[in-house]
Amino acid sequence: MSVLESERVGTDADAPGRTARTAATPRQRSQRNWFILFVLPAVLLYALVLIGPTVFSIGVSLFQWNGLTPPEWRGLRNYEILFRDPVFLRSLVNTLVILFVGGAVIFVVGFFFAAFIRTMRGRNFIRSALFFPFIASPIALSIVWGVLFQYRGIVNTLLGELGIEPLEWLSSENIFKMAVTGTIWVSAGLYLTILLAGIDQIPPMYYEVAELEGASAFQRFRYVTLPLSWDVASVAAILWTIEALKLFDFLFAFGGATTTMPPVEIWNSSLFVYGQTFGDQVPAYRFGYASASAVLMLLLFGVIVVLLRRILRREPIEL
Amino acid sequence: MSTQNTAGAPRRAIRRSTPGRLFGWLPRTVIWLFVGFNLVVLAITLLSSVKTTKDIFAAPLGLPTTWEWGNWSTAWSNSGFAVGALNSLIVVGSASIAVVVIAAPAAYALSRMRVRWAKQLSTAFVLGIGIPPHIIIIPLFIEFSQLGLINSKLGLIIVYTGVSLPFAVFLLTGFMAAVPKEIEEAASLDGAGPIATLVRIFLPTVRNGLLTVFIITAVSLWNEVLIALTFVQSNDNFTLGLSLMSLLSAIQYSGADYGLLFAGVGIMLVPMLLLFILLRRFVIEGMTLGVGK
Repeated sequence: MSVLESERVGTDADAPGRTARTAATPRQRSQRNWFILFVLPAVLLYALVLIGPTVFSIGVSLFQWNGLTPPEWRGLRNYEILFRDPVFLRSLVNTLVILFVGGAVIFVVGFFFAAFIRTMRGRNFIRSALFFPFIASPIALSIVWGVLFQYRGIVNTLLGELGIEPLEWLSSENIFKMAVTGTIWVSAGLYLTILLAGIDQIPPMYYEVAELEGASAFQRFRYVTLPLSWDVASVAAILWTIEALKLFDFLFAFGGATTTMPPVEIWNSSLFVYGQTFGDQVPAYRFGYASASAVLMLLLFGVIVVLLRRILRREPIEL
Repeated sequence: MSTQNTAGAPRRAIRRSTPGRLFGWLPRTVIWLFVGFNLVVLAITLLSSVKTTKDIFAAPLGLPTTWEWGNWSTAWSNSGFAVGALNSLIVVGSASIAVVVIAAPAAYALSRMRVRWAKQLSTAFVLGIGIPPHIIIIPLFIEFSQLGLINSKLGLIIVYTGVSLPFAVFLLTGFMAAVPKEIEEAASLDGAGPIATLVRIFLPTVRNGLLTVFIITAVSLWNEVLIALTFVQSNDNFTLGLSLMSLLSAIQYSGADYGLLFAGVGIMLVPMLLLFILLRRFVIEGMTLGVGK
């Protein structure tokens, strides 16, 4: 892969590249003009909506600013305060718990399920039923999740019919666990489906050979499924990392509403930003401080993605 | 054919004889339990939307004692879901079309034209997938306030289009790159220019890809709330998600009418459910394709 790339870069720089600079043929020039025309709208909008604001946020994070009065220079003070802010630390820990604990459950269960669903009857139906929560509105599912588990809710009613005392599912010690469980419920279908697609690409021959040689189901999983779907799984893991950072809707609707924030116990990085700016009945508009937290989390997750790619790529894929 | 059959027969025999019987049925049961859980939750949601609050909690799994179809019409006309649905349709529809129209030529150029920086530019678009909305809402809010695009459908459409572009370009680049070279060469031998090649050759060839991108964009924007919360202020511009959130607030203050709340949830879920049943293949394949290949 990397050899191929460097080779391509090499030829690019050698033959057409250098000549193009000095004397491009009319054909090359028109090709370049068309290229610019085709990508320009996308590049402009990308810059306006995503790149520009991200860069601007880095700048804003060095000021104290409410968006109305002139911004006040603070340097790195916002970042220092973040590390002493219990609400931010809580949000940071929650975000990481969702990423690592939620991710571990999603991938272990996803792999386990996918390995069995592969040969099960009704696999398309199973896959659809488990996938559907992922495309359903997270706030709608979050509301349902809340009504299921509130104290006088549906789950406790059903437990009552079995003679079990009602449980405090959403007490302040439990609410975050239930939010993470709900997040897993909503997201797992996507990763299960991705893993299943990866496993489907494995030639059935390998399984047949393994079975002929008497490999148990676990051995087939360990020596065929896992190594041969590793590439797909590692890309899926990166996707999950990105999604975990973006997560907002499900947590927000889990105890919040349009004008109220959910309890701090379930805040993550994006809820922290929203809570420090536009959220709540009296919006705080702490643009600089909130931007600092967003920039910090983006940096942290950038590092995590790079590390994950390193760690996951090391694993040998050859059989 | 015949070799496959002979290979299949001993395989089955061997599987029966392996001692891992427990490993055979237990996981299957667990998987079906999870499937059952999702179906039961869906059934509870839909049933509760036509029940009274008392019925919902007295017998969650039972049929309603009285069928409260009025929940849906109350949500639709009194709780602002009609306005929300119309706004969502306008905003999500326009943004999804814009995404396809803008991403398709970009993806074509990035995957097919031999120009320096094409590779780097593709990578730059992929990186955009990782930018979370909460880092851009503050600057965008300020930028759009100055442009007068706050609390306007146009402003929301622009932001929605922008945030959806990276993934759309990424997916479509994959589709465009998979078009055989021969088709392109035939077109250029016929003297077709870049626009003709894109419109007459590539777009028809990757139409499934275009449809997939459209559906995925529409689904994720239909469900989006954070950006809408920040950019929409008045009820007449509410998207469906905001209508549901404000119904949730109303219910928290004014005593709980859970039947009405579930009807609101139903209005939000049913379109996605129908879409999923009709176009499942595009949705599932589209969402896994970017990773699976």
